[in-house]
Amino acid sequence: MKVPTAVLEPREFEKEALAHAPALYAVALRMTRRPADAEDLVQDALLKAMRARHQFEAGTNLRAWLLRILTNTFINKHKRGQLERALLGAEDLDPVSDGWMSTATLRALRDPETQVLRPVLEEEIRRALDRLPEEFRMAVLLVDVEELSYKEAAAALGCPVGTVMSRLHRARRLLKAELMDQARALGLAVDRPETDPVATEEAEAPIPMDRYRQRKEAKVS
Amino acid sequence: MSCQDIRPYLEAFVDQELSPERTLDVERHVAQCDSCLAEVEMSRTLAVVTRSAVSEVPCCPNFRARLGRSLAEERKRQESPVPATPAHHPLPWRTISPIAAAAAIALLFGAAQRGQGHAVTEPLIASTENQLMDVLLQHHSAPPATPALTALDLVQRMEPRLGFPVHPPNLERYGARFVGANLVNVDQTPAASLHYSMNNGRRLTFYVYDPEKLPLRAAVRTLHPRVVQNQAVFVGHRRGYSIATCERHGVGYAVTTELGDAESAELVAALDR
Repeated sequence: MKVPTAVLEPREFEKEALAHAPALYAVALRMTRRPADAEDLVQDALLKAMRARHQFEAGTNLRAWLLRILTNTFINKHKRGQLERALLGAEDLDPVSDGWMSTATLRALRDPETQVLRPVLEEEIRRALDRLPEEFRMAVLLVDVEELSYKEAAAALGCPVGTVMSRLHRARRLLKAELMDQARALGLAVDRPETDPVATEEAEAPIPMDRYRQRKEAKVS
Repeated sequence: MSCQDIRPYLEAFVDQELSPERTLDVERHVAQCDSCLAEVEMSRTLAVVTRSAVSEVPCCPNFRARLGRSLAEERKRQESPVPATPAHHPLPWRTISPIAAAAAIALLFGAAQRGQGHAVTEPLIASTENQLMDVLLQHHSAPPATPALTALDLVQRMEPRLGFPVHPPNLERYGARFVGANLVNVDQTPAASLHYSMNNGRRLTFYVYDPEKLPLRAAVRTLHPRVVQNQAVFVGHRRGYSIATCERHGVGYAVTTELGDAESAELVAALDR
C-alpha cells in the first residue's frame, strides 16, 4: 500500500542522516581512496541531501538514498573521461587463483557470528578493491555494497548494462583470487587438487570428447 | 544443460538478475554439479565479505563535529525566516555604489592617488528576489573603468574603513592577474571588490564583506552547497555568470565569474592559500 509522502522535519532528518555518516564514509573511502577526499565527499553528499530532503520519502531506505547521492556526487566530480581513461590500466588484471575451498568453509565464512577470521579477509578485500581500476571498483561498490541492480548501476555510471556486467566479472575474478590467497594463508583453503573438476580457464573452452569422458568418470568414481 | 552453458549465467544468478526461467535452469544444474555449486558459493561469500568490508568506518571526532556543524548550519538556513515566496515579500531595495566620498579614498592613499576617486559609476538598484546577487553581478559586469586602487599592497589600507581584514588572493596559478580594487557600498554596507583579469580576457571579481551585515548566502536561495578543500562553499549561476561564496573566520567572500560553477567554487576556496 502506498502511503502519502511524508517529509522528515529538518532536525529529525539531520539526526538520521548523520547516523549514516560511517556507512557513507566507508564507501567514500573506497571510492576516493584518500581520507581527506572521502570526508569532503561525505560532507558534500550530506549537504546536498539536506537541501533535497523533501524529495526523500520517510519510511523508505535512507541509507540507500544517501548512498545514491554520494555516488552521483563522486561520479559528477570525476569527469567521465577520467573514468574511461582508467580503463587503459585495466588490461593487467590478472587473477591467479590456485586454491580450493570447500562449500562448507565458504558458507561458514558468510556467518559473521562464527567467523573470527572475517576481519582479516575484509581487510584483504579492501586492499584489493583499492588496487582495482576505478570503474571496476565502482561496479563492485554499486552492485555489491550499495546493492543496486545492473540496470541502476549502469544508469549511475553512464554505461551499458553489458559493460557493468563485464566490469563486475573481471573485478570479482580478481577479488576472488585475493580472497582465495588469503584463505590459503589462513589455512582455510588447500591447493587446488590435480583432479579437481572446478573449471580452470582452459576448461571453459571446448575440450576434446575423450578428455571430457575421462573427467566425468573421475567424478563418478 | 552443461557447465559450459551454465557458467556465463552463474554470476547474474547470484546477483538475482536472471529471468525466472533461466534462474530455474541454473538452480537445477547447480543442485547436481559440485563445480558450479562451488563457484556460486564463492560468489556469494565474496559478496558478503565485500559488503561487510565496506560497511562502516567510524568518523573521527573532528570530522563528526564538522559534519554536525555544517548540517546544523544548513538546517538553520532552511529554517531562517527568509520568505519561501519572496515575490510576496519584496526585500528592501538594495543599492551598490562605490563609496562616494573621494575624500575617503584620498585619506587612504594620500595625494598621489587623488583624482582616481572620480571613477564613480551610477548606483545600481535592483528589486527582484535575487537582487543581492543581481547587484553584485551587475557590478561585476560593469566594473569601474579605473579602479581606485591598482597596487596589491595598498589593498589592506581599506581595512580600517571595512572593519575586517582583506587579503587579496594570488590567483596567478589560475591565470588571473590582479587589476585593481574598489571600496563599494552594498546596501549601506562597505565591502571590498577585487578585480582580476584572466589571460583569455574574462574577468572575475572577488567581494569581501561582513556576512553579518550582508547575508548573501542566506538571502540567495539559489546557491547550492558544495565542499571544496574541506570548506563549505555555496555556488550558483545567474544570467550566464557564476557566483560562489564562502565564509572564513567570520569574513564573507564571494566571487563572480564568467567561468563554470566548479571553477568558481575552486577559486573562492583558494582564498586562504
